Amino acid sequence: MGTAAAIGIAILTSLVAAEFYAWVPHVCRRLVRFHAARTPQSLREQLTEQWTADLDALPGNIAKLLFAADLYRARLQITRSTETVKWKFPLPRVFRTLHLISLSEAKILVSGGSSYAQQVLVSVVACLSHKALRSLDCASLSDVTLTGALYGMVDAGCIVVLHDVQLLSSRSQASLLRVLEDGEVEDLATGRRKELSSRIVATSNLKDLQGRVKSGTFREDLYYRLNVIPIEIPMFISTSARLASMSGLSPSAVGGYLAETLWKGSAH
Amino acid sequence: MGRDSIRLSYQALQLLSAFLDARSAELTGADLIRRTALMSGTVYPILLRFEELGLLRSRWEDQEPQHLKRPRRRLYTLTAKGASVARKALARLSPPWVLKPALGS
Repeated sequence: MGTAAAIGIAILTSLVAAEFYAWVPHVCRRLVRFHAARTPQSLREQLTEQWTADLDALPGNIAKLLFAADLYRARLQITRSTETVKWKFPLPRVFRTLHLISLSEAKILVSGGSSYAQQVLVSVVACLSHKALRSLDCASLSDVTLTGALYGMVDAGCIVVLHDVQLLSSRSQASLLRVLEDGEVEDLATGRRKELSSRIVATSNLKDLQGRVKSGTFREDLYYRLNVIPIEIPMFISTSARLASMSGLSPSAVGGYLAETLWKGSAH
Repeated sequence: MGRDSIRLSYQALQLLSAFLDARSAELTGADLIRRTALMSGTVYPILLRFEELGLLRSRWEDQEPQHLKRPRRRLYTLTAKGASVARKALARLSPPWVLKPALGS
């Protein structure tokens, strides 16, 4: 009985070993394709072919298995070194902060960055606070139309965004300040008044709106009325290395011109 | 540390040493793994980095996979800049710390 069991175990072990060795090349090729498919697109085709060829060139199944298993580490390092945009701050923290901001009704002053970035940020706040967005372009407002436009826009369920607030004329600045201080908007045509129930967000493409205050072209009292929660967006400045990683090209392929040129646009 | 200086790890030096030992021969990733006993997770990121830095040059085998009846191999050679960097880096190491390929050729 004992001998029969020993022979049975030996046969079974040899069968399992044979099965294992038969499967190893197949499993290794699958692993190679799996890891290569998770590398940056610009390298994917090259690495699939290169790794498959090198796998075939290695002797023995154990070496093949080790090779294929360790490609996980290769993939991680390659992906990390060719990451596209390196954020200056962790995004989850930004969203947590924006969520806290969306819970309040305090006025926001967004400065710096591109207008697109400002628009995205304001949209996120509106989305998180379940409110509609209404935009007012200060560049195209005359002194008379500011209060009229505000009167038509204010509503409890919305956020009114004053784009390029630094472009308001001194008269409009005075009108806006009065609206913010009174908490009421008056329709000049009918004389009717409405409570300012909307949240006000002002944006400015100037990184330093306070400089305008010091130079006397922007009212100090209005600045402090708007600047309850200041949000400054950093400019996306990059060299060719980052542009190259975004485009999937090698930095040398981007060329000498870009290598020496700073990109002052935004990432989009 | 200068702007153009290249940081070389022990494993990177092992790879450069393997290239110098091979003289002008072209090496594949598998050759380098055999010669240096490094793992694939170490070899390939270094190869890509060295190629980007201009220390290595690579090309595919000339023949098509249909003729070869296997995938084409990627062949790497040391550039003049790579050879100079390798010699300078290895010259700084005096015996008994001169690197030797672990498994030979």
